[in-house]
Amino acid sequence: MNCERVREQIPEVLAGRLEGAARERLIEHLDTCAACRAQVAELGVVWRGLEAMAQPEPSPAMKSRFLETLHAYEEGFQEAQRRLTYTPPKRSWFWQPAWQVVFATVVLAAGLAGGRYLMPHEAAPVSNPEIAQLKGQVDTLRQMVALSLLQDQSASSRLRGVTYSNQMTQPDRDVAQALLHAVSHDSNVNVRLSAVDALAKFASDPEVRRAMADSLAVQDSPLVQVALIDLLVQLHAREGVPVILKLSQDKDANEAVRQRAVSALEKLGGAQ
Amino acid sequence: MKRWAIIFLLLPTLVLAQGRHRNHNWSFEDNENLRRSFTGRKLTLDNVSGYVHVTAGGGTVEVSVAKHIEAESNAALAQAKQEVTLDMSQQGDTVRLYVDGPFRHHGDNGHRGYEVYYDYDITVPSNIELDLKTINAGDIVVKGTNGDFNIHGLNGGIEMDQVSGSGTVHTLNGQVKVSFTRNPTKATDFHSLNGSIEVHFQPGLNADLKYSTLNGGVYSDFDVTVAGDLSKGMSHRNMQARVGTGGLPLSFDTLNGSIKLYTK
Amino acid sequence: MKRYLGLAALILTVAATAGAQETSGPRVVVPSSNASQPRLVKVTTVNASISVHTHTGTEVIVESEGGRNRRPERTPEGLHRIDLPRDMTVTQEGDVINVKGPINGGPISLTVPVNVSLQLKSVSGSIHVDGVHGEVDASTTNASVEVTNVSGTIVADTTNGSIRASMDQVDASKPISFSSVNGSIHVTLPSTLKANVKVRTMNGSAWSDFEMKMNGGLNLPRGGAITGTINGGGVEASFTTLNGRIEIRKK
Repeated sequence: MNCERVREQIPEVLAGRLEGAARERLIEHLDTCAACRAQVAELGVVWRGLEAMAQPEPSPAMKSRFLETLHAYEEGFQEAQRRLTYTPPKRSWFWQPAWQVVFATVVLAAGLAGGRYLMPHEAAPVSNPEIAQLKGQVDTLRQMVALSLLQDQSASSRLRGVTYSNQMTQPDRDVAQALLHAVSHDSNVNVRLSAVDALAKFASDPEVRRAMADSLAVQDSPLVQVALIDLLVQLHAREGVPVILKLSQDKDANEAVRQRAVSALEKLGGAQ
Repeated sequence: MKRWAIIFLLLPTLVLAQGRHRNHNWSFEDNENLRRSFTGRKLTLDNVSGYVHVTAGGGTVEVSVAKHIEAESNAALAQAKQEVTLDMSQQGDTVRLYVDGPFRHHGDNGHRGYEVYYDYDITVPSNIELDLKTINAGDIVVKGTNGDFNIHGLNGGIEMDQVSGSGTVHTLNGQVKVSFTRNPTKATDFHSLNGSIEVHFQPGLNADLKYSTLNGGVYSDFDVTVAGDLSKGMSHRNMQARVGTGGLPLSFDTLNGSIKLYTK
Repeated sequence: MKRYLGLAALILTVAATAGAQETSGPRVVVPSSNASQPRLVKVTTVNASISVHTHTGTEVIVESEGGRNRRPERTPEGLHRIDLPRDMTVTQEGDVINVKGPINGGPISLTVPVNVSLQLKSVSGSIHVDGVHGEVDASTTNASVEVTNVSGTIVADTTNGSIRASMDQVDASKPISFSSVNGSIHVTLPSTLKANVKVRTMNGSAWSDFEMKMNGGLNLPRGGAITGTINGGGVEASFTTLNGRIEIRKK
């Protein structure tokens, strides 16, 4: 296992999604690689912070401690609520997944360090706002991971990115953008289909509904066309009517798709 | 009347020189036989038109050259005799045979009313080092030598029979056919643009091969293990392979023609 | 950039099955052996079918039944061909091997180490994978996909062909997804698999012998997405076709 691969797997390990043998291999690598250990050490600070603020200064991550913090993360992140601004990843080195993770954790570590400075060591449990802040930042981390997965060259990873973003409790506009981009431009039809489903939670955003209708206009896969039509109907998105109408009359379109478009028009027209 | 006289006079030499009209229908001819003897370890031959046949045997370099001129007129004939010369000399232990003429010079427009052919039959010591070059109207044939070689033909084939040594075999329009009594010990390259390459090695060949052909396949009677830096990709235009334990660099390159490699 | 400079990477061994049979074209075996075992093998072809099997070695062996040229060259007596077919390129960058198949080529067959991921893409060639532990991404337009005895994850799609898959183990962290426009989808999964299933077929039908806990009632619009959980839920598993039949079976 090389360092490159280890860093790619850090998000998965954090999410508790690295299974038995692979997790063991990663940990074995950490035993022998100081550079990766240092990176994990920064993350270790974050995750141990979730457990309790009373822990002593972090030393270079050791196997057992790392596993503990993993566990804490798994339990803690579910409640994260906080949003952070996010800019779409660019192609520079900084936006490589590993660096994004490092950046996020450095920010988190800084926040933690700052918090710990302000609050002296206590045995008392941490107050709620801090936990909430930490967990919000964890959610951000998850979002960054999802968004970087969505750019991976492997379709399986991109699919994972869609699923990740689906599991965020309050994904924001930037996630919506990334999903819309995936629906229109991903080269793999399975990823596009999954992204359509993930967009369902953005029902309330009219711009997203419009963008979905726009995306329908440029789709060439009948499967994705049907999925988009169904979603637009499910969301009562009348913004989709012009595009769906056009599709229903398009002689080049798949017969089944045209039928679907026709029945969608009835449903959408009937609404309101 | 005059013309008949000339031909009559030249008849013996015509026969001797296996007289034949090469490329033109010029009827003015001259033939000459030249013989020289040298002792040397290297033979450099830079010919323009004519064949080069080198055979191992004996301890000296015995050069026998048949010179054949075809011209469109007497004047042209005379011009040919004057302008085109064969220098045969020895410098140190290198025997040098060099055909000189206006075609060697820049700006030569090639318009001549004559063509001069030199056909060489040379006997050499078997360990001679060879540097042979010819351009037109003849092939290069080498038999039985075991010294290193640098063989360049242009419009003619190259055949090396029962040789050993290392070097370069190169022609543009012609077939290359080489058979080794012992496998080369240093880098050896075989190149033909329009023509196939056929090489017979001895069994137990250990080499790093590079081969490339556009129209025509590469064949062997032995297994190869292709090895090389694949970061740029390997395709039939730039194959690299190892036979046996590798080591000796051998390259084979043709554009229109197949490459056949034998060890059995 | 995962380029390992200067590492002699791919080793090509040519099978000495010369003259044994009258093959239509060259047959070249490309085993790969490197300091780091190959992680990902990508194959792209137009018409050539792709078939992948595993072995216990660390090499990747690529066999190609060469192209069908208009004038098939006759192999000289006693010799076998040792150059790659026209239009076929094999590249290795770090631990990724990339095979671009001949445009009008015969079937390409790969033998890979067990732990490797695959990205296989063909327009009209069928795709067949057996025994791999890793990520399998298979995509073809006009032909079928068959993936058997695989552990890890599968993302497979075809337009006009069918998909058959059988998984020994499913990686819980990676979604599996199968889609075909006009063909059927038959997938066999471990009976203990925990999954969130999503099935979409517009004009076809969906069948399963798993006990599935359905989300939502049964009065879904015909052809809508059916979602449910198997064994309490877990990995995301998605099956989509327009006109085909979907079958999800227990191992």
